[in-house]
Amino acid sequence: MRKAMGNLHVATLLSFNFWLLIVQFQLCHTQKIYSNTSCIERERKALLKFRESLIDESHHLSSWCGENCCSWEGIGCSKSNGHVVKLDLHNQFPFDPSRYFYDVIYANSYSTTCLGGEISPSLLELEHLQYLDLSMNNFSGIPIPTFLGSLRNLRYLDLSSAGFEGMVPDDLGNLSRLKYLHLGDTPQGWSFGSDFTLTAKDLWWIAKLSSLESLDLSGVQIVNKGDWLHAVNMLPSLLSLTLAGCDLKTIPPVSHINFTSLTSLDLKGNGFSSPIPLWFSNMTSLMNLHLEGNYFFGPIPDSLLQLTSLTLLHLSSNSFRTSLPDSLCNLSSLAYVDLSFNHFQGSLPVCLGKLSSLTILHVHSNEFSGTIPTSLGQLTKLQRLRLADNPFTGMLSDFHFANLRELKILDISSTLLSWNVSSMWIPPFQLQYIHMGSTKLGPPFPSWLQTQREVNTLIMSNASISDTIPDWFEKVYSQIHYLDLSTNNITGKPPVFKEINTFDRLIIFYSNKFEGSLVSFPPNAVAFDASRNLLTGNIPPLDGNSEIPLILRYLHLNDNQLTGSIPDCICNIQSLFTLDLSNNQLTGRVPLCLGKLQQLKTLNLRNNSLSGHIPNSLGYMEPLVYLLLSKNKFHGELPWKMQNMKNLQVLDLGENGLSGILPAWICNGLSNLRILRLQSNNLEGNISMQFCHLKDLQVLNLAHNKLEGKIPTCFGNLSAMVSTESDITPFAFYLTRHPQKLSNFMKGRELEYSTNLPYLRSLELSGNNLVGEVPEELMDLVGLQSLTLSNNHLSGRIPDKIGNLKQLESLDLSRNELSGSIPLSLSTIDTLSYLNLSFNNLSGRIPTGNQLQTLNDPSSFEGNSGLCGKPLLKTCPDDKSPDGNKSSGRHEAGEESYFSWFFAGIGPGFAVGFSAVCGILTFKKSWRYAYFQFMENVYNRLWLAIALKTSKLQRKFSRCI
Amino acid sequence: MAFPSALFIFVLPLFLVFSPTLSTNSEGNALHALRSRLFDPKNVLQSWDPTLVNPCTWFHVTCDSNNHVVRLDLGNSNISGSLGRELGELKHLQYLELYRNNIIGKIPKELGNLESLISMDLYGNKFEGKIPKSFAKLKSLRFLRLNDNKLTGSIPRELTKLSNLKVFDVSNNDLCGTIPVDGPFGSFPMESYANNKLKGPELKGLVPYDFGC
Repeated sequence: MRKAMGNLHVATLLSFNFWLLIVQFQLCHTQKIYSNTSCIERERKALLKFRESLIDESHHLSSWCGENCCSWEGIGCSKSNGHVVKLDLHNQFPFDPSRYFYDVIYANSYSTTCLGGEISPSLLELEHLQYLDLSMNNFSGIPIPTFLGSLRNLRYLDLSSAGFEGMVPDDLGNLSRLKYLHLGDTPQGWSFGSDFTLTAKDLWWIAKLSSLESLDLSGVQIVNKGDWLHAVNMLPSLLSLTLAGCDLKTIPPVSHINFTSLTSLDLKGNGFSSPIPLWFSNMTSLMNLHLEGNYFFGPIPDSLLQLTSLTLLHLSSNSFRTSLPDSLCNLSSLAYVDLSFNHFQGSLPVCLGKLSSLTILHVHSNEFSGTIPTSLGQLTKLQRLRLADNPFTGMLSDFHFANLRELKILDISSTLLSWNVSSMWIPPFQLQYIHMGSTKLGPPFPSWLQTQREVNTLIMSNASISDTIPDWFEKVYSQIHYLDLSTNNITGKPPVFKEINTFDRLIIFYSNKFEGSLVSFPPNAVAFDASRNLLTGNIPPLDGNSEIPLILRYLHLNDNQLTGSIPDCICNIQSLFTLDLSNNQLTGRVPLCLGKLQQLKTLNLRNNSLSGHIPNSLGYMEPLVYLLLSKNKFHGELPWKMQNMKNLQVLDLGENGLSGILPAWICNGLSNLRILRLQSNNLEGNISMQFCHLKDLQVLNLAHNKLEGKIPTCFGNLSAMVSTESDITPFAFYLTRHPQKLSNFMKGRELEYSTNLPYLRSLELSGNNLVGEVPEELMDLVGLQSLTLSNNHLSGRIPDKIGNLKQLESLDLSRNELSGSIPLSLSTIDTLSYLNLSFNNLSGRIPTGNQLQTLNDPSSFEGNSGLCGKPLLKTCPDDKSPDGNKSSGRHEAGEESYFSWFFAGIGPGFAVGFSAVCGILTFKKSWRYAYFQFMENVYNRLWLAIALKTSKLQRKFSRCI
Repeated sequence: MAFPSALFIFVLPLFLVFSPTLSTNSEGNALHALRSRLFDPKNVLQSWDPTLVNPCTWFHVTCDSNNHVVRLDLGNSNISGSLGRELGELKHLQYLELYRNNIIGKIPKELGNLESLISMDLYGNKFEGKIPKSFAKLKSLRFLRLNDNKLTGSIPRELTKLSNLKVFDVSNNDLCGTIPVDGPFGSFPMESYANNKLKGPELKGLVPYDFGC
């Protein structure tokens, strides 16, 4: 199916000699073929029988009628004997992978051009067949017919990309005259997966094809791959060998190689993890070498640097962590060098300027540093230069581009390079692709851009541009396919786009300061992102008389100041995947026709002033995954049709004026819901037990409604809130450029979650009229990060098992009627960073512990008259010996107050006692006499005793001495 | 030139999805740098997405109303690795809770720059080296628990300037020298110093405090 993709390369050098090979082959083998000879009846019947078993939707073979089968489409006969020698039924519809994968219409029309069905054994009647090409068709997984091995005259067999599956028959090894054998599936090698995989038990059947010159087994899975190289080594005539994506894993050691004439070797995507083998140096004719997508490491070996014929060297996506040797510059034929996505280091060799044939130089996504050698400016043939994503430093001057007349692609994004060219500089090139994102480009628009008239891609995101769009810029961008000016400080009016002849335009200029109104949507755009600007006015009307089918898939106008209503014409963009108009000032009703957008996956109208009912027609949008309508003025009941939206994962209707009974159908119809936000509406009734069936629900917010009754005990079954597995499935954000944002009330404030939304587990029921106890079962929701039940009439005790909620970061049970003590287990939640138990009837000592002691804000506990202990000032009645509990006291400031009181008491006590004694002695004469008499007696006795003791001691000491 | 543009357009939608919005938040960068130093077997840091505008929705991180990080709660999270100087960027941090993990290496002196810090709980890790003198700059610090580590050296006398310090625990380390008695150190219980090589309370005017250490 994808051979034409290879055709895309033809213009480039990379497969030049490979094609030369085919041309040569065809010259020698087709010169005797004439289609105007009348054909042999037996072969004509065989061909008709062959056609019968084919499925030919687009009637390629409509010319297969009449007697002369040699004139039929795809048939060639031998002039000498009239036998059919050529059957070429390859699909000629041009294959374009970018369209095949993203343009449904193209993909369908491509598919109808493919032949399918069965391969009839009647082909065996064509005994003289030399050339058989069924490539680029879709045989939907049938095996390669074994009988093909009996077509002994075959020289050319191409079954590549034709939807064959299963074992490759060994019998193909009997085709001993075969020179060309292509069974591979993926001309791009490892980068595209295929629906159908061929398998071969080994490669030994190939060893018999000794004439083989070109072999392509890309994507064929080889079971016994250990000796693949030895089998290939039996093919001395080989000129081109392609074993891309065969998952060969290792290169077995060989003493010598026989395929020394090889000019093209493609081993990409095989998972080889070794240095490059030494025998490479024996392939002295090698011109094209594809080794990308492996794990080759080590230095670039001398064996490779001796291959002086080398024109193409593709080492991208390996594990090289070395610097480039100067000897690389001796490979003077090099035209295509791709070293991207490795860890190459050091600076680029100055001598690269000597590689005068160089047309493509890709060194992006490495660890190259230093400045860019000015010698690159001498590469007169250079067409593509990609330096991106390396820490290159210094200036780019006009010398760097002096002779780059052929340059078409320039990528210097994510480097530290800056420009040093005069405003008068006229570059020698006309670029088609310019990527200068994440570099220091501005503040003004680079003026040299005005000389560029062939640009189809221009990326200048995050390039420090603070400027208005200059007048000349329109001429640059008018033909552009992809324009990205995002994340700059560009002011003034947004650019206006004219219709051009392309199928997929991407216009991105979010996060700037564009102001004024949008005149129109860019025609032919697939994606248009003008979000996060200062745009005003209405959403522009669609160009009604456009004949071209609308292809817009991503429309982001969010975070502007757009006013007016959502125009009905939006419903005509039926290609839309994402419509984001959030955070504007839109008014009016939601168009009833929105239900026509049958491909829409994300609808975000949050934070506008939209009013009226939520239209029932939304219920027809079955593919919808994200529906965000919160922060508007919608009223009325939830439309019951919404229960059809089976794919809905996020339903955000909060902060509106919705009323009526909280519907239970949400739980039956919307069984894939992961996030349900209905907060701040006027919903009534009980919380249905049905909610417990929402197995994927990880965020439930019903806060601030008028709900009554009890919290269902079965909430413990909300299994997504139970799981603590860290590897949860992330949301598929459906190619939205910006992840959808949702706010969640947590830690006492509104937090805006975006990429972290998949990890969030939160239950919020605050501000209702809920009664009864906090169900013990809630304590089974061990994945919860946030539990908010405040402002209800919940009573009873806080469940003792609250400590089970080990992931809890935010717990708010305030303003209820909870009583009893705070469970000790609360202190075992190490993640808790916000706690509010205020205004309940809780009592007893506030527990302490590792994490709780860091939650020392008294307001978390206020309004509970019975609570005591830290951090409240109120001490507990049993606090008499606070340092009795040593183990926890050590972590507390508790004893500190005790000590300070003790010491504080000593001072006044001493003062009172001392002044009492002195006062009495001053004013009472008899006491004064008695006191001093007593003191004198004591003094005399003491003196006497000391004198006796010292004389005794003196005697003792003198005796010892 | 058909090929590059075709390939480019093909990969573009992928680019659209994965190209991150830019983070210019220095506190987020500091925390991300911390993450890169830590081994996180329980994946508690998986929500730490550096492309977000601020780290306020990262789990275990709490911000104030100005989106400044005020709490980092990673106690008992099974993380290992070491701390780096970048933590000093969290100028508004009030609670640094890293207790009971397997963090090794020195305590970065840059933690002394966290001038809003109220509580620093590094206990129950494998920190080694000295207690940074720079902690003397933590004027708001009320709780400093460094117990159950492998800290060496003496208790810096500079810490006596921490007039708000209410709880101080360095027990179960390898500290030496004498115990300060000035400032708030007059009121800490002896258990705070247990299981070290400390020589008892400092005798003012007689022995230099780091004598024999």
